[in-house]
Amino acid sequence: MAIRVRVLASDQPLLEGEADFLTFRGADGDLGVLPQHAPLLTWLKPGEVMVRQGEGERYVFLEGGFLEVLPDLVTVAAERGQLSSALGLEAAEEDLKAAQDRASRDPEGLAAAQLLEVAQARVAAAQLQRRRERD
Amino acid sequence: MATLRDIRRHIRAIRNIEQITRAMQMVAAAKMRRAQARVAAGRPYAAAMEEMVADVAKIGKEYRHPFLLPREEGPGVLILVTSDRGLAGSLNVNTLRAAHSYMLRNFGPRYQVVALGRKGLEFSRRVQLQILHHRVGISDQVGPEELRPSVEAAVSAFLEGGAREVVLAYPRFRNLLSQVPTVKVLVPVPPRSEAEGPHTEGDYIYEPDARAVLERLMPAYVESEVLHAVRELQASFYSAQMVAMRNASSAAGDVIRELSLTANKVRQAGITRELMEIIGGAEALQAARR
Repeated sequence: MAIRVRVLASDQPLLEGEADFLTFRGADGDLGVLPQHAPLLTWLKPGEVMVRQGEGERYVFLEGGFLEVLPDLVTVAAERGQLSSALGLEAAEEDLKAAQDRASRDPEGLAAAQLLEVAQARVAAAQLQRRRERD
Repeated sequence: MATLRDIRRHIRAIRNIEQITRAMQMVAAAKMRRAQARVAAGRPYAAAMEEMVADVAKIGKEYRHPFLLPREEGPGVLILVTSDRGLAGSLNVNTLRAAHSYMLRNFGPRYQVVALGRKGLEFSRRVQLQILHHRVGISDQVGPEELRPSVEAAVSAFLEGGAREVVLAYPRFRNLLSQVPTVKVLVPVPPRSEAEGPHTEGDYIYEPDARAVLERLMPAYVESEVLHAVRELQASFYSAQMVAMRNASSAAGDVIRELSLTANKVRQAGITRELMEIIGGAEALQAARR
């Protein structure tokens, strides 16, 4: 028993296929979905979506977005995202520094805070990815 | 009758025009390929957002967002997506005509406009529509941030301004030769038939809660539609421009061929006339000598 999953960014489809299980960072915390899950609608925090099929696990980093679970289909749509394997740790760390600079200059700014949250999540995802690649 | 010099000058002028149209054709062709790739890559996302919202309209009961509730009254808002520049055949005219006639039919002549692109803006000024917001010079690598103020103008016209409908008009890219003028209602979300969409008992589980999710999802849906419409426009525009310039170049070639023929005839006629004058003169001399 598997469920169809599609992960789409606004500028490219990222992943599509069958899955036995997936996890993601929902609005109220990390969630996992198995086939036959009840319908669910949530927004996503910046972070990784993991899609497992058989022995294989695939990871996608999203800067937010929405996730809908239906009986036969999980749709994940985000303005921006990329495969975790395409994340570069060094580039992510540089981004984070820039975001921290901006947030310290504009501590009240909503946009700056969002940018910082995304940048932190990207560094965390890039670190996890590096660890996975080492194993 | 034109003199040979006039005709040759005309040929030179047309040859210059042909060079320009050929250059524009090449530039448009290169941009078209990139724009086509972008529109194809973005389509699944826009379609998914549209489906998600339609699913919510069908099975979501816990909280009915204003975007899900039909309205009886209020002005219409048109998000009008056109190109900044012309030389693209009837692309913009077709979009404007389709959009304007829909809006006239449903809202009368005083509807409101969010104009993305100069051609639509100029049109809106000419027919004296109420322009809520306008934007020209959208980049070819357009992203969601660039369009956010325009989307916000349309969304707030609905949420705060009491508009009855938000309508989106753009040329949908089908292929090089075909761009389809498209007019669709974004808000309120059009209902789907019973057969379409998810078949499920009961409502979603919402996180964090129904209202909070939908208040984010609904504007994001409009944003995704507008972003995608701009990408459709760009692919359509460069295709239409390429075809228009190709036609112009080949028409220029035809004119040059015809004019060259005339020039040769005029030149030949001149030579014949001169020869006849010389021969006539020579014969007159001989006759005089006898």
